[in-house]
Amino acid sequence: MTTHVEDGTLLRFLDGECHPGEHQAVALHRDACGRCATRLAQLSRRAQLTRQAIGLWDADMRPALRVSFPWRRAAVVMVMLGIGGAVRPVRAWIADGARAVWMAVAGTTTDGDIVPPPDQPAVASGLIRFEPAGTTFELTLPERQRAGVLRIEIAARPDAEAEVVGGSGAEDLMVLPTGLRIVSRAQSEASYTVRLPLQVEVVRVVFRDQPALTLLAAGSTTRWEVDLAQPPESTTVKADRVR
Amino acid sequence: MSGSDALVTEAFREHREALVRYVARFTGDPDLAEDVVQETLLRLRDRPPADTSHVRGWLFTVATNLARDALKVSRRRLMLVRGAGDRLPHADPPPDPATALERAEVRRRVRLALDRLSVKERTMLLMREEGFTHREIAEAIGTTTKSVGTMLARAIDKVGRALESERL
Repeated sequence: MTTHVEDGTLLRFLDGECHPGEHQAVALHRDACGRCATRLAQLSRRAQLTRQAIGLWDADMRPALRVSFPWRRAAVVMVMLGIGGAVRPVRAWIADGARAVWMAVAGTTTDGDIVPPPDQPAVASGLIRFEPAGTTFELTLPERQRAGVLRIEIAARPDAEAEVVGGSGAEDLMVLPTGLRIVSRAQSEASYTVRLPLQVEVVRVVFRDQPALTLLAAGSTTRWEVDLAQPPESTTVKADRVR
Repeated sequence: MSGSDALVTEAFREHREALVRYVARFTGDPDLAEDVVQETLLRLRDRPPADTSHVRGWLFTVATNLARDALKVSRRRLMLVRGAGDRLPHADPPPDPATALERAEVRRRVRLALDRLSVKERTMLLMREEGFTHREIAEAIGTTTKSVGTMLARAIDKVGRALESERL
């Protein structure tokens, strides 16, 4: 090289991004050119200062992130999926067929299946407990209710449970191989709480005739609330608006 | 799980943390960063790139564009370090007043230094900090590898000059 090395090339040299021939040429020039050697050292020092500056900002940001919105940091991402056409369940079919569902999947579960305790009825009202076997959990709510809230919590716990709160007795919780179906009626005002263990990483909430919401967790305590009277309809709903 | 769902889930697991950090640095607003990353993952699900083998670069590019749009819409001033440490609570015990004062002063100087960058410079600098190569940065922002090196060096000079007299 007869001229000085450009700054961009010097930075590529510093970043280890020169191809071998270019690297060797820059190194040789640096050894022979005091001006480029000085400039290289200056660029290296300033790059280090810049990195420190960004690190300082991060150091301040980390506790802020941790405290100001822990549930959000715990990974609330809502993605509207193109899963439409949730089939309206027939209550009688559910009641009659639920145990058959268990029998069909018993012993042949795969990732994503839900395995109930042996003595756990598949259809129940009130509080039920079960064991999600996989990392994906699907919640189906075929009916838009007059009122009520769906609360989903992911936390450190050994198993899962679902509970009907304030129901009229007409609501059912049905554990399925893929998750949980909440069966209710349009005039219902019941709320539901679904508590899941940390192993669950993805929760899909499928409302009748709507694309599903997908809630992605990241291994720490996470909570969501969905208004059952006005479940989100937009395909770009964000987590903090689903309340 | 469909292919798109799997792509989003994997992207979430692999890149979310880096994306939030990047956008938070870019905007100076951790809340906005969370929103932008959510929106980015929505885009991935709805309009994934044709070549899914380079999702990381695609995600950062989309996140950058969304962050810029979000800042425009909200009319929040584009910034890198604006008062994040001052306006948000700390989980750790507060430092003593002298230390707090010193840290606040350092933050102020750092903020001023980083605010001197243009949007493009900021984008490149932060992508470099996230481990992107010059070629990847060039592809992400639509320029040449050579230009990236030149602009990065200029950005580093801007910040470095402002900080050289400071003891970080």
